[in-house]
Amino acid sequence: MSAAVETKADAALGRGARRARALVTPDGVPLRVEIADYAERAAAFAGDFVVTLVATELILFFAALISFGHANATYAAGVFVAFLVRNAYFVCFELLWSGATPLKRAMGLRVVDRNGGALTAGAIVARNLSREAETFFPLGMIVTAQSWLAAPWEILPVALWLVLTAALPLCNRDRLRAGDLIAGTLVIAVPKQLLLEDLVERRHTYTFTDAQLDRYGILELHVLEDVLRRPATYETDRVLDEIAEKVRRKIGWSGSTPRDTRTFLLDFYTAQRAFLELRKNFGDERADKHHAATANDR
Amino acid sequence: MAATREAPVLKSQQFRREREASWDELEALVEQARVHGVRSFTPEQAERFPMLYRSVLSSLSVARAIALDRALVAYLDNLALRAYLTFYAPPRDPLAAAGRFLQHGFPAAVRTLHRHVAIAFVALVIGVVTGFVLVNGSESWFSTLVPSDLAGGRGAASTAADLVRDELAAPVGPNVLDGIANVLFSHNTLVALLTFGLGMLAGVPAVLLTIYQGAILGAFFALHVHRGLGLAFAGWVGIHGVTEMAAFTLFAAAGLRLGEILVFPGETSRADAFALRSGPAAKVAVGAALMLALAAVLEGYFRAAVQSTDLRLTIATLSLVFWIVYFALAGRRWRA
Repeated sequence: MSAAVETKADAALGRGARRARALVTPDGVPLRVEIADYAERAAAFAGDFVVTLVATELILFFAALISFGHANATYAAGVFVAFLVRNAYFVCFELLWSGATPLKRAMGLRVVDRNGGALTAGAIVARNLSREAETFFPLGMIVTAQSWLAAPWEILPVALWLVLTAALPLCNRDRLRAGDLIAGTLVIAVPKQLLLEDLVERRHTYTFTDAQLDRYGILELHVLEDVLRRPATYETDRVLDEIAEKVRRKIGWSGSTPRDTRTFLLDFYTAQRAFLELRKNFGDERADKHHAATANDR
Repeated sequence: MAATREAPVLKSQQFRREREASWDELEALVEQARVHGVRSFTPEQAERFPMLYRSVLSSLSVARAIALDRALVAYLDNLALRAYLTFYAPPRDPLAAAGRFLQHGFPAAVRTLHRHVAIAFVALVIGVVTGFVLVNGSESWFSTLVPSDLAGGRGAASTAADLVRDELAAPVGPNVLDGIANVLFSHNTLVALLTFGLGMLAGVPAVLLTIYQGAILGAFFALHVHRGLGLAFAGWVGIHGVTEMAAFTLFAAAGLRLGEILVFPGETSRADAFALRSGPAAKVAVGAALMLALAAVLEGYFRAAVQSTDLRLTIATLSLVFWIVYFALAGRRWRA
């Protein structure tokens, strides 16, 4: 089944908010992966960042307790501890949980190798260290702006750097930030998918001729499958009635108007799928209902 | 019409009936690995897992070829992806990974980038010579070349006694951690990160920054040589400076590599070119960051703790020899 049809079906159903791409495993099989959204990644990062901030504060607090205020934690020491904590946090979790920090894991995001190989420790360290230059360094400079700012405009290049690195993921198809480019990594969304039951596993009532099944292609089959899998609500039933009406007109259904639309469409789905799978098996893959027209054009 | 009949069995349906049990088994293993880790596998499970992984890949290929059941293909895509992520997980032992990186990965990456390292090194040398010659001719150049926060009051007006008291013989500060942290988050780190980051933009700024960094060092040298403190300064700056300047050079080399990929991506897209060719640059940058941290420890503590110029020079020479031998030889046999 071609990826183009998949994407078209997604578009027809108003789905596929995430961009998809193929990741070729070392075994040579292209897997379809969904690129994580910018918003998802930003949320996961913000959450992880807050966790590391709290951890840093706790460490500094206990360090101050232990020293009984003999040595007040200076700003430099605070920055140092924060640096160690956040890098240890991101690197260790991404190593131990194969490319997921706690917040990434909670949101179903994973860091993977862009070439489909195993994620290496070096890549994990590189993508996280480079975040120092991308985000934390300019952020630190803005936070401490009072101490070094001579003229207000001097904040501009720093802010520009921060904005540019933050906007970089939006400027490329794979939503890569600078660290991903350097480390050759990619952040994907891995939602867990259940195996839904096969719609054709049943007895059937209605039969269709080959001429009737000639009218539609894979795209329409997929849209029909999706509607049939929706929970049986009043809304779904109305959509099914509409579809059944259209199908009957299109295929020139001569029999009586079926009483149970769902049964009629399930039978049509089964017959249509059997027909299209057979055609595909014979090398005649029919992407959509226009297949006859395109075949004639050639 | 009312009579129901058994539908003819579809090929895709039959395929699913035959394979579904093995998918369920893999599903359970992937879930177990996700929650408890791959280490929780019993020997039988560890033996089954690779077989089931390959079998789901083949199931996916077959399903894509014969089945028009969207839910089935989506499920297999997802299961294969999750099994793949479990199968090709990053090394579970960070310490071993770090050891391999230091023994092999880092020096090998530096050797891969030897041309970039050479360019960066030449830029650094040009900078040092320029800085030295300029300030040697006229000390008024010093304040032009060296930013005031880095000069720290040193300049054309400083006497030899000033330099010895405040700089060369300054004692260890009251808070060692602070000293190291101050060094680490100072001007030099900023410059190193910029060299790398700007290298990514095009490469030229990386070279210019390296020359400038060298010029600052040359300017300091000339200032001290004029006051008869040349050797003392060499020890004072060399004890950490050898490591630090080596790290700068490597950052610049990594930056140059990134710039090269950006300007000459070759036949692939830029993003793909980065994925394929930025590996050594990333490794070199990570290693150079470790070297900066090491230099910060040397500068923030040992430089003040070791007051003898001879000893400082010895450490500087030893570190120079160490880095040369390390980058030239480490990990070579490992690869064979």
